[in-house]
Amino acid sequence: MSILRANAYGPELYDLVRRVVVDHKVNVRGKGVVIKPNLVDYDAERPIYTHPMLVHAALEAFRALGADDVRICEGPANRPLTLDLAEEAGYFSIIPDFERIFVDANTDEVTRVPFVSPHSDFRDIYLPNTALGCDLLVSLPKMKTHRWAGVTLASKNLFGLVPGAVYGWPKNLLHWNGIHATVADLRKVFRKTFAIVDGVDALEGYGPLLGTRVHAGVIVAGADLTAVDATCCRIMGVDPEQIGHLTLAASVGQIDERLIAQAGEAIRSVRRNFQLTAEWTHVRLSV
Amino acid sequence: MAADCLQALLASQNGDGGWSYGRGSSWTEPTIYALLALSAADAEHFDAALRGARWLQTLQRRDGGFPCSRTTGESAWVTGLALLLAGRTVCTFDSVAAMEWVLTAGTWRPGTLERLRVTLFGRCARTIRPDGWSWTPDTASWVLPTSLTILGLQRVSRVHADGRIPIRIGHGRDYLRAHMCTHGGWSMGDGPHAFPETTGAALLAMHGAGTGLEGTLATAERLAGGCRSREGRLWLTLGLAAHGRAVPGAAAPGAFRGTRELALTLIADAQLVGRHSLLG
Repeated sequence: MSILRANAYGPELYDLVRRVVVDHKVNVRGKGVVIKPNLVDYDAERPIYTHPMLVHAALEAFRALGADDVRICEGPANRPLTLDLAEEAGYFSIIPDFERIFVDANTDEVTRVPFVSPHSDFRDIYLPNTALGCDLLVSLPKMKTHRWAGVTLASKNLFGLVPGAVYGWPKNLLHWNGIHATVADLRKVFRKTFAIVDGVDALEGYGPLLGTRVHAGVIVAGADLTAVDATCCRIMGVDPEQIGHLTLAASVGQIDERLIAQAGEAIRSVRRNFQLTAEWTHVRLSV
Repeated sequence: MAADCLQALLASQNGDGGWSYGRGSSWTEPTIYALLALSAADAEHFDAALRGARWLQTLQRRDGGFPCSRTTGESAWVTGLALLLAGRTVCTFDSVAAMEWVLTAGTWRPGTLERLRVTLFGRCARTIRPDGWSWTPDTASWVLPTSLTILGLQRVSRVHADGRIPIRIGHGRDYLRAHMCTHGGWSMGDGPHAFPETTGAALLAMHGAGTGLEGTLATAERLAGGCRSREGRLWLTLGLAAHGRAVPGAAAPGAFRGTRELALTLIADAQLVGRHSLLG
């Protein structure tokens, strides 16, 4: 688990991301890597999606480490015009050859995957073959509060893989079947993971779409999505023990701060209490 | 440009007769749009259309509905879209069975358990919105499947008279009116911001539904002015044209992004000369 300061989306991000991937000894030589950013929708005013420069930095880092194939896979949750949203968000201009390496998770070929001992009402779910077939799934979420889930980070970001062509837009079926439970179930499907959280410019308040920009100035990375999310929560001033999808995923990840090996900045040095909506004030971290 | 689009559409047909969204295997939605576009095109492309129609026909389930692809088993929202092919040469499937599915199975209604829950606890786990159409059975209604299903029912009513159709279309339009954004236009559901694609599709579905759309028409024209998405602009073009309005200017240049965009371009071109594929 690494916490790194990053004050802006600039060229230094490339070196930072490469260093963190090397530090974590992520072995991708000869392997297939899928990068999953959060491109839920585009908004010119609010940082609701992962910045394309971070996505490009991750792409370059995994290529430099010898990955055989690196793809970007995302299925916007709100609207079906995926490539148009990606263009608005700057993905085409910042990531060379974007359209060739991008797979729309909303319309990719799918496989029905059973949930083993599911927490949610789903017994199975269709998921895109690109994500199911990779050797390493890299979750690149935007650090945000979420009006239904409390926070949306590396684990909740997996929702974007669920195909809209099957379940529609927005992907509310997942929310109905238990938002926390479904995230925990998805988390169990994808075991070979890494996470790099975009917390440079983040979103607080009425997220994930209508919140307010907040400059958090951090990148958080690690292989255990639950541990990464728990650490992000603490940075945001949120108690991860109060976030249902994190506690449900305890069998596949770590929440306890004492058991999470951490490098880089101390949480207290980068902590900034994110604004929470009235429904979520109870999750405020007390210390 | 129409000729190029048509060639691109024909070239992208899969070996099994269907169309993918852009690459890969065939899916129901892009295949239906491709068949609508071929039906609207000037030239005859009967072989390609028939192969597409046959692919679609093989997907129809015993309950009358269509799944989203051969991989996904359950009947879903694309059944309402398929009804837009009713009565056309390319409709080789059982459109009456599809219509029945849309009229009876496409929407979530509270069952015994939900009614009991309301009685005991004063609330239901799900929001009851029985009058639009959902993406998947037994879930809430949304603007896009509701709009497309209204259009499909209008089309099927031309070939199969059924007294339930105008009633359900009326309910669907009530749903759309109730979910209009404050400043006009539509999001996917209750969102505050209107989207081009949903606003265009809903305007098509509200064609002939009476007055009260002035604000939304103004919103659609405003959205079109700033819309960089070709598909979004196409939906607005189709929706505004249904109400006698034109979208000024031309779409941004650039490569076409997938089958739906290609097909909608052909459908919009045909609409300009009076051949309406989406309006009944």
